[in-house]
Amino acid sequence: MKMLTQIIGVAAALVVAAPAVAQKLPTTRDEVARPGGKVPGNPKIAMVRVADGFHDPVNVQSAYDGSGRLFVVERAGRIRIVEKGGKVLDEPFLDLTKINPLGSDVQTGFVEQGLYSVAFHPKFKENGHFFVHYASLPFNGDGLVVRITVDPTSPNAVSAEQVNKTAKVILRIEQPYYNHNGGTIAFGPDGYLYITSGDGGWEGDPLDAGQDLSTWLGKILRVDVDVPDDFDRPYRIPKDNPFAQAAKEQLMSLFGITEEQFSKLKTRSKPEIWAWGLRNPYRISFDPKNGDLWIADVGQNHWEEIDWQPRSSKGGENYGWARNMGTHCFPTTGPDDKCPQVGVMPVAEYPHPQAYPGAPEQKDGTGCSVQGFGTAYYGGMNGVYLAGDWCSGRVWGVAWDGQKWQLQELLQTDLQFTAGGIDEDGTILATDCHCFYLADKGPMQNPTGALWRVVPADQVPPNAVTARVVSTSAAK
Amino acid sequence: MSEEDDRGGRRTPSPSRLSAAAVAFALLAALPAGAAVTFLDPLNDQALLVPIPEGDKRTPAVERFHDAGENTYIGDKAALRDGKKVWDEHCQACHLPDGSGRIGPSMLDEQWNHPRNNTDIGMFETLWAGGAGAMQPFRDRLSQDQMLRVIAYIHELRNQKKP
Repeated sequence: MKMLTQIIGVAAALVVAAPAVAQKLPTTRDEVARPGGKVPGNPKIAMVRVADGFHDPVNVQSAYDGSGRLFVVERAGRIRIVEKGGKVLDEPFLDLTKINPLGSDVQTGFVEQGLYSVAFHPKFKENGHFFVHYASLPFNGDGLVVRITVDPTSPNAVSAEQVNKTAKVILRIEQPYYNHNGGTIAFGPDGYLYITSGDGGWEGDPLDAGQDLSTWLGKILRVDVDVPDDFDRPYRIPKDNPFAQAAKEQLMSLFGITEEQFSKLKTRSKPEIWAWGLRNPYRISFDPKNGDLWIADVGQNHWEEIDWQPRSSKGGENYGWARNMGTHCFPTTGPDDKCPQVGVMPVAEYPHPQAYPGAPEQKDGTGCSVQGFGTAYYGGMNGVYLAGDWCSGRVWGVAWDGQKWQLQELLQTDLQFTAGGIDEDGTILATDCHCFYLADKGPMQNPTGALWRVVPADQVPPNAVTARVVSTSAAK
Repeated sequence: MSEEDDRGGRRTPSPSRLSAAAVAFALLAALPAGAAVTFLDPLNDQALLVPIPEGDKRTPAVERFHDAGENTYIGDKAALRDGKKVWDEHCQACHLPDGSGRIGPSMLDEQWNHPRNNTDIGMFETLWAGGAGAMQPFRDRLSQDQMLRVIAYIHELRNQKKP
């Protein structure tokens, strides 16, 4: 018995002493994090209100120009400036509802449509270029990615004249249906512009867009926007894009070609594609410290998915939609359904109240639509990716604990999260709206939403307004 | 208290740090004379101030509810018709037309996300203050009288489901 105890003791010591290994992608279902885990540091956080009164705020960005300004994206087509200290400027930074004499340029008919996001050029301070992605009304909801240039004499407000004078359309993504439009545009650490697009909408990916390399739908695109204005396209294809060469016409050789080389022939592929097999990656975010890419891919009816792409990625990841939803089958039929796992697994996933058709409804650890915030390096968090849920108001942390991925619920709030972002100083930000599906009466009619920041729970400033949270006693 | 505070924020230090007696005192001090029902925030059990509306919106049903916690619209056919209209416009997208739930939880079983929702006062609290996430506060969208009518309609849905 004594010996057994000693053996157990030694085994326990070995477990404790297991050396931390570098984070890696899961290769089995078991390695994917699900609710109930603990991220290192077990952070305690609060959501503190920065400013409010925004009409359906759906995104927030920093310009990284040293000004400390935050740019809150309003769905109707406006961008509002929040100055350091929380003052919201009355005049919008951008107003796409006023650039077209025939009316707004932004389609907001469905709650998933509108102005999606803004991205500032890495040299914004010098060149004044910023980019927007929005559902275009004149183009029947197609996604327009447009470069606009700030007039240096009016740094806080871009006039309609200035928009029309400087607008350069980078690309137009045809959107067949009104939902699943993706949204984020963001510059990566490589200086290229990444653009997300959903599978085109309806449900179940009726176009099979996720797995179709001949469409931009269901993808993350990557383009080089630093081209002369008289270049033949508004962007250049980065040479190392995974399908940059795949569609190039060439003589057919059948012999002396390896299977690997044959597999690279994708003659209908779009060279802009960086990653594929996505359903609705509304919000992606680059880790400000190490350049890793985080993708919050909104799922359908049963599972939400969080994907991680290390900075070293060469692109070409297939995240499996619409063959899989997270680590599950699509269509999912039960708790142990069997199907091939296509492509790269997520690092974390969480269920809807019903994890599969007919499953008993669960309250704990659920959501319906994952909205990424960003990676936190403060408050005991050393690289914890934070995301919120649009339905359940939960805030999730995802991190590698030295052995495996962990997904922890940090908070359940009364907020309907729409997106998040990162302040120049690394503070994680989030926006919430009162625009839930049928509750949506239009971006200017809905009760207004707010901008929030993630603060360590023991550092909430006096008199700060914090989000209502579910306390354990009230939930039980 | 500012308008923004009414919509969901709260100022620190939180009342949870105050003693129960202090909360009760604050509540009594804040309540209009005659109001007898104590409302609590469904998320954290803190005191919830629900003013009795003035003018047309101060209906006998609203007064009765504040006074005794009783919903006089239950089983009232005209009120149920109005309650159904509210349900169809604001609720059924998430909770489904029959109340069986999809994105929002079922109204037909006994699994309540907020435990007091098995009472009309609890349901009213969730409608007024909002629950977690997408269950937003409806006080900017519905009158208290409409809330009582839709609660009566939820009872009707539960009755219809019974064999």
